[in-house]
Amino acid sequence: MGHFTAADEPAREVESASDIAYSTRLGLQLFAAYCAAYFGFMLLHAFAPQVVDINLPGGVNLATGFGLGLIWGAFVLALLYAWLCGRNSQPAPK
Amino acid sequence: MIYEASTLAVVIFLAFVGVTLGISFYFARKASSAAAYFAAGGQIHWFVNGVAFAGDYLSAASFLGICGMIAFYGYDGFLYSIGFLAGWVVALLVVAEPLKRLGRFTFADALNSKFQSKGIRIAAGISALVVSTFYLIPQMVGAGALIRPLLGFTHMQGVIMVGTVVTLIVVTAGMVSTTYVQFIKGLLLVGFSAILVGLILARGLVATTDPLAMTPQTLEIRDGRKIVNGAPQGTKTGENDLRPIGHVQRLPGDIERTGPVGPLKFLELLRDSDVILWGKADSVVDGVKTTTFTPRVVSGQELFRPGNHPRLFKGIRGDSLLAKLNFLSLMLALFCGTASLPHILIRYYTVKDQAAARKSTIVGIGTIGTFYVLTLFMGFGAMTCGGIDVSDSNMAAPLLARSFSLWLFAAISAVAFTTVLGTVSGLIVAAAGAVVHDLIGCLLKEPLTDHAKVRVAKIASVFVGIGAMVLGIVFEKMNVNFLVGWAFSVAASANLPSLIMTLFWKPTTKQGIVAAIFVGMISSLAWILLSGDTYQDVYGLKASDAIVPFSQPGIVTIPLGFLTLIVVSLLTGKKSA
Repeated sequence: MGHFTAADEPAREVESASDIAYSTRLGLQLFAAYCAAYFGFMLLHAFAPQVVDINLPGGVNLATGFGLGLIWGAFVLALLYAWLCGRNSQPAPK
Repeated sequence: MIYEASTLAVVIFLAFVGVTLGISFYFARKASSAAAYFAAGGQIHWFVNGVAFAGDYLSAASFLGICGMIAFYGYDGFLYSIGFLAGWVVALLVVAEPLKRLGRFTFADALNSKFQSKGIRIAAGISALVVSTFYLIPQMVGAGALIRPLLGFTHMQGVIMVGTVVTLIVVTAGMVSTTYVQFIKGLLLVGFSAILVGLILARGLVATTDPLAMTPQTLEIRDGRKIVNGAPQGTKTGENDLRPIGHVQRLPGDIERTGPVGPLKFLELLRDSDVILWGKADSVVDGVKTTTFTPRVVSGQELFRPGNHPRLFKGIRGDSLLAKLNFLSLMLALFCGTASLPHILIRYYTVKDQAAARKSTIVGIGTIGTFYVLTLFMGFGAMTCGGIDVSDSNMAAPLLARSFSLWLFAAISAVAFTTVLGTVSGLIVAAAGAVVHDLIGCLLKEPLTDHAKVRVAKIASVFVGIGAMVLGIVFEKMNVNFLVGWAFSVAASANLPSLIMTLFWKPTTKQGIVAAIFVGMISSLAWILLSGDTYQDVYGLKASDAIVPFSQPGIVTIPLGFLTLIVVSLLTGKKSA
């Protein structure tokens, strides 16, 4: 079995301070958005369980649809974060 | 239920263990230095690391516990899937990159990067050891629960066997072999789960014609002997065994079977059907313990509604504020716990830079998210497969596989074993790393040589492995999912406040960090030990006599950790100024 390591990849420059500041700020903004959705989900369950029982078009109720949305939403958010960080990252001057 | 020992399962299991140990020995040659042993030399490819995240994270509780909970109570089990996955957003967006930037071996490195304090290192080391040990308990309990019916071993023999194999894996090559074990396990787990879901959808739903589907069952334990429905438990003439459960009572339009369906159609059909669920009640009269299992017909709409679980989520539908707080507390702990688990955090040190840490987390989220979506179908598939054990929810996933074929049963059982191996090996590496770097490293005047670090870590791994086996035997009767919820609470209370505030709040002081770790850890542990569930399950006392008002500590102890850090930092910061 081959040992597939990061050494097989080209070396990367260390991230610049501006890249770090950008990814930190972006991470916190996206995190705040996801937190709002997750805590909304929790609070709906705790204090308005009849609302999450509403059937959505497509065969699932709001509880299941919201839950699946939080799972796939996390992945979409992760891809968005990686894309924005990659787009912002400037190549170091030679 | 009595399970016939499957030779096929034993053969496939031994093949998995053989391959896993082979990988360990192969990579052992590459792990002579401390950097290689604890962090795989920072040379793991981000994709391998991402799938290994899934292998590390998707524990016995995820695979066995969630499927079982959905199979027995419906949607409530899926709440765990949502909480466990959401926690990865904290890991990716808040913790991953700064942690990678500031640390080298353990998360104490990141906490201590500004202060170089022995106090922080010792506090973080103790916390990592406690959290890893706490998290080891459900894994070992799950291992014993799984091995007993499949291989015919006792719980103790099963735990000792799994503990020995895992310790051998870790001792041979540390993080390198652990990473590849977890990578293989992650792929197998998601792959076989997808196959299982494909088969569930291809079979569709079938309405039961079993005349005994609605007949209650009893299990008595009299002088150590088991009596099932009035006769000794067994499979010979004159003996009885518990009948398998998991039936659809009525399908929409009163049809007998649906035939193959798509995923959303499967959920819609189930929602419009009636399903038989089973309740359980225990009683003890004259020293004879009797468990009565009673069926009831439940509408499909009810299955997708939160609040069916009699203990964990029942409060959602009631008026009690404390019960609602208990639910919110559990969901908060699941959200905050992931980014606080030492065995997850150390995986950020196995890749070369922050970008690789970010990319591997995304692969991890994709893999783990896919698995958690599959758990919804596996759980409902088990609920309606007609072959699960009324007395053991943890066996729902393997028995669902057996309802298709013995081969699949053997494969899923072997995957479940590797699930335990992968997670436990990661926990032992994390605990050993904490002992060597954070505890022993601080107590000795002379720093250990590289070679000595690895030797001490291997010795520590053996002790942690033995400890895990003992705890797995002692806590045999505890619910696996429940124990994991507690482990997340302790991790989030002890580690998250100091981690977040160190990264994002400049006035943080070393005294504040140490105080937050100890206050978070001790308060959450104390809360658990004084809770109604521990009173009932561990001490055998009345739950209503418990001192704390609800069982899940997170909603109190996580903010307490933050508050402690802020107050102590402000007080000690002024002094030093």
